[in-house]
Amino acid sequence: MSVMFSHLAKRTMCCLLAVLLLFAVVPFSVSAEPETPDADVSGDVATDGGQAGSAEPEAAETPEYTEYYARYADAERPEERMEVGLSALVAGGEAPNFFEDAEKGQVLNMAANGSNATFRFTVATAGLYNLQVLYKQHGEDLVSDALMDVAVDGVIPSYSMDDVQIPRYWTISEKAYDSRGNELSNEMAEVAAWRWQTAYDAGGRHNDPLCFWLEAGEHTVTLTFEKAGLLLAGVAFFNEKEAPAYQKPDGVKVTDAAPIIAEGEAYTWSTDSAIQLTTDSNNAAMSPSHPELRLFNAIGGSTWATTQQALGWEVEVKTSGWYKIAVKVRQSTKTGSFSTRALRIDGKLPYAECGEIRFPYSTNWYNKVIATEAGEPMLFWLEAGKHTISLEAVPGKLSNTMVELQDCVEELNRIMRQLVQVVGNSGDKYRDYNLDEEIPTLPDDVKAMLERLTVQRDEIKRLSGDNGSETSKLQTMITQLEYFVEDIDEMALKLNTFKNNITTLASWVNELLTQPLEIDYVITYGADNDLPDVSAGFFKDLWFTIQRLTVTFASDYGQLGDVDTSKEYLKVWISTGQEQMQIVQSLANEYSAMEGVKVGVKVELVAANLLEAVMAGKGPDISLQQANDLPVNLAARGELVDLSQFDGFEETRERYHANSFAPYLYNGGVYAMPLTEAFYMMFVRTDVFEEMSLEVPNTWEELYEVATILQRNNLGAGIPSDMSIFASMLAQNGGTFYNEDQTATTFGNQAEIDAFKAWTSLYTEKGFDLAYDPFNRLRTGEMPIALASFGLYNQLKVSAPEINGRWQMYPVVGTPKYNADGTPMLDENGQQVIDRSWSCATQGSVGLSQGATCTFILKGCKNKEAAWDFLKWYTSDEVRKEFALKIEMRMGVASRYTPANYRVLENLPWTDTEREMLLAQWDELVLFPEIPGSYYVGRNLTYAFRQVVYNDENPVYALNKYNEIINRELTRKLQTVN
Amino acid sequence: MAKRKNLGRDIKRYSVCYFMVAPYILLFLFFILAPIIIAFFFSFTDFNMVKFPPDFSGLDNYIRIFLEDDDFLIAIRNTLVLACVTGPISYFACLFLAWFINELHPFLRAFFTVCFYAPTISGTLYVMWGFLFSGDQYGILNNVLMDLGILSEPYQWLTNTESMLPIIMVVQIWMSFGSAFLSFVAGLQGIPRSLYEAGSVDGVRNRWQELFYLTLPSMGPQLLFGAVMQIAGAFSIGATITALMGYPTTDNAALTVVTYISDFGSIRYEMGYACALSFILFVIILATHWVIEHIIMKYASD
Repeated sequence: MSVMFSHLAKRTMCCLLAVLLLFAVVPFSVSAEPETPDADVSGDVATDGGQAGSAEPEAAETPEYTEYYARYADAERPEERMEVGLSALVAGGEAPNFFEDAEKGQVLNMAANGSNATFRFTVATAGLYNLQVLYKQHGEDLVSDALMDVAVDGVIPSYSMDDVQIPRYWTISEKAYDSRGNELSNEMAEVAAWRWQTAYDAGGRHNDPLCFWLEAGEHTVTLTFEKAGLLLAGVAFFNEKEAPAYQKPDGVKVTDAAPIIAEGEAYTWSTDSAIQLTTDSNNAAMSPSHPELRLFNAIGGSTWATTQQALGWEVEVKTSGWYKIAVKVRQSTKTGSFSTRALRIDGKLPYAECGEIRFPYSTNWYNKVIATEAGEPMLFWLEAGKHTISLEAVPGKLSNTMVELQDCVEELNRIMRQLVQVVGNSGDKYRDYNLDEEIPTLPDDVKAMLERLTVQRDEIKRLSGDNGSETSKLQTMITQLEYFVEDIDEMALKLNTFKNNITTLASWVNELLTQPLEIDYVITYGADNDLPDVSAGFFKDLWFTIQRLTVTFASDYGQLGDVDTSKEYLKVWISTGQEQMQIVQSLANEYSAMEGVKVGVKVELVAANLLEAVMAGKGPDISLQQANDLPVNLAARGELVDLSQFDGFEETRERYHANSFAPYLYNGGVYAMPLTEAFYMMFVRTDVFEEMSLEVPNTWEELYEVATILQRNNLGAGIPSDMSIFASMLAQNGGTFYNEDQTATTFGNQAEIDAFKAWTSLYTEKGFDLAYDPFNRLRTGEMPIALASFGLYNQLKVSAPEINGRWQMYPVVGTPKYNADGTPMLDENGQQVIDRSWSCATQGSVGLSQGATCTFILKGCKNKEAAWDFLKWYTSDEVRKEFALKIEMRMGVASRYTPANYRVLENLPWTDTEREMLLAQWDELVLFPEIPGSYYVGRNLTYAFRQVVYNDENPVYALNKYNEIINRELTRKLQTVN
Repeated sequence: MAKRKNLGRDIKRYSVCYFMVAPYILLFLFFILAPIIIAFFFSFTDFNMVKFPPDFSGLDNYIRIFLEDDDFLIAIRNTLVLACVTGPISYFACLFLAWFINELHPFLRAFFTVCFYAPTISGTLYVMWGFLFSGDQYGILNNVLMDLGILSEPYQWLTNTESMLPIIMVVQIWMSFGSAFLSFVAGLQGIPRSLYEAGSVDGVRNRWQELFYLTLPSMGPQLLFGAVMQIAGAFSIGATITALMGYPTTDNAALTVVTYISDFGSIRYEMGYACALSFILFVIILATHWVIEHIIMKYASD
């Protein structure tokens, strides 16, 4: 206390001094009060048919679900069920797309993105209701869940009712083994059936189904679908009867029937194809386990972690009786915490307690017996016959806390941004900020924040019976806020730790929201000694390990699957991973089995240096997934096969963007086929832009203006300092890298010099950051706008769920076009034409890496015609699409694959808006040619750039100087190559 | 004639010894000597990893290296600067640290040995220096210096030509307490106590005299071993630079012969030229080694 007092005294003294000293200085203060947009809950929602894509409801206009629910929490929950079918359909907007179903007759086909249906129904008793839809998955090429927006009387009641997930059910259609007995990636099949699906929170954060408040009287409900591919037959409002609490059945005898084991990996259905089968081969007690073979013996782990992912197992009970249920699990990702699952039998919770079963952290496998809180195993009555036991990831009791904490993180980030606007990136010890005057709301905001966090901390402690270790990260934040409440100006000095604490808190909350769990088997049993041991014992494990070690000398896991080596085969190399290899191999097997194909294809996972292998005579026939700068450099040495000589090459060209082949041309030949393409997008934090009333920029000039405003507020805009910017500015001004003969650079021309000047001036004059992490800065909002490779989309979607809906992806900024007479060039809509050409050129290992990958045939290949036939097939639209879908199916959204084939993008699970943006940008993609010796271009351009930016060199002089060096090397290289 | 007879008889007599050194000799021949000879051969060709056999180009590669190649001069200068600064510093630092901790309690000695040795065995842990010197305004050093008001905007430590070499030196010295350090620790332990007792009887008056007249002379082999390791280490700095600063570095400011060799070998595919470069490096290391060996053996055998 005394420390605090003397601190205050010192402060007061300083203030007095400062006032005296600064007597003549006119104090200026920036009004930092944020303009909060009025909470306008008008009905501008996606209900009028046909234009759902553009009419996405804004998050700000709709209340958060907690808020919505709190309004009606005490309302009645009538038991009646209001179920309506197609007869209640309200006509309007576009004509409904009917479909004739064998079982249900006429139903609605919701295949098109944005298709919607409105039903009319009458409510007898006002109250809170849950919602169910009767649907059946339908249509192919869809791997993700359908998203459904629910509007009641034309208004989406809460943010949580936007993008409600309607799952697709999957099963393993067939277990696949190779001739040695290794298990291969299984083929998945959809399990289409009519199901009633209850609507849950879109973010998967609430344990209970969504509640809708309905007054008595007539209402309409409008369902709008994205990425749907489902048939719809009806909708119902109802209230589920709560499951009874467990009470030990009196005087009953536990069954003495033999235990029934359902292997985790042999599930009957799954609601997410991305839940992966796993192999634990270090453990003799796994079921099944084999020292030699690769067998899947478990399922889940980090791929079974998001709420609403469920797995079901069908078990056949021979004799009716009272059974116990146990699950052999491992939860080794969520340190010090637990994952939660709901256990259902035949789709129903047997007891209320089964709605939330906790699986604590452990690096080892353990048997989790479903038991009461007192630890007494629960008894379940199972009739003889087939039953489905299912486990679904649920947020658990902590769900409300998590929602609240996510909110708090967002609020903390807002406070932090306000602070940054006044203080800058770090506070100055010798300045008094008078934060309470600069930001009048700050003290109250911090106090309110402190209260909210404290309440949540206590709640977590109460619910999890935790002693504090679990909430330590939350506690750090609370301690700091307590400190800030005492002395608000400290916030300026502690800004950096404050930022770090927010980031830590955010990732902790996200981690708590995940529910990872790995399952070996589910067992239904009677007698306690029927429960198998989870460990085989030390000596068995040791022996198992020794066996496994011995086997590693003989087995090659780089090749799984069978190739008929009796007939001629092509050797194909892939460098990415087991999953990809298996997918390519299974595709290749399909190919070999096709009529008229005489060769087999053997896919190998190799990470070795290609050229060395080729020299040693061990090279492949075809190499997949190589960097774009490699083909020309190999072709110049005569190592590749010219693809343009083959039949049908010209037809393959139309699959791609016009200049996709530019990097593969050499001496009139074409030496590779594109596989993927890379381009930049512009990521914008829409909430911050709204807060600061900024417009999303279209041109560089507009971007500079936005950046100036942001910088004035100590925020920033992100332009990566790599060569992509130079290449893109070049492309937008009609420049190129090399002359027509591709013997020298063109950096002496005006367009090139201008582009170089513009590029360097971003960092010398306009004050953009040279180095930053776009993901983190977008996440905190410190950099509300950033240009980045579209891969950032996946990263933000998966790793920063707390800002979902608060950011958008746009095409990059461009250069406005003018006619020869200086008037703006207009398009048919009267808008000025903006050239958004973009190139991904960065300095690659051998040339300009343009972020893309390609595939080529090596000269050593004996059967070149066969290799070309395979390549032609492999790069065809259908196969690329199949590959992309399979990858996403197996590995989830995070690994979404974007083939270079122009038309395939349309079939991938992007939303309409996203697809539109991506296609708009893709249209403007520019790829520059590669030439032998291009490695010298990238590096010397970088040198020139750094000369200008670090040492204030004149850009024209620097470019000239390095251009000479480049051209000298190019000339020399050209001589050696020829 | 008689001599040859003796040789034959000797081989027979010591056959067990030959058998025992055979594994090492074979490995040495195949993995050290043979590559050197092959590289020497290829250095007179224009081998490009594709055309085999390559064309013989005589001394072209060497002429180009010494007379035309500006980057080679930068590389050799950087390599020598790094070697001359980090080599001796790390050598003496190893020696003195080993000496300092020698007399500690065995437990503490083991503890400090692990501490100093840890950076060497931790593989690529040196990437942590990348966080320290990150050019981001939130890079550790930038952040601290901006907080203190020394810098007003982030400094690009790892790409600015002025800061690159010093940083590499710091990292290299941090990493250099490797096998040389261990051998010193072991060598110091191996000196019998009786030697010091005899010394004190003979009139050694302080620790410095003890060090120079007793300790170091009796550690000849360790000193030599340490020197060889440090020289080789100092001349072959390369992976650290590429990991921290990427390749190529701005204006080749941190170009060393090793990174230059890998540039020609794996990026430009001019293997003949790369072989000539590596042969030159080999000769430089050999010569330095020879000089150092003479100095140390002279001192140690006195």
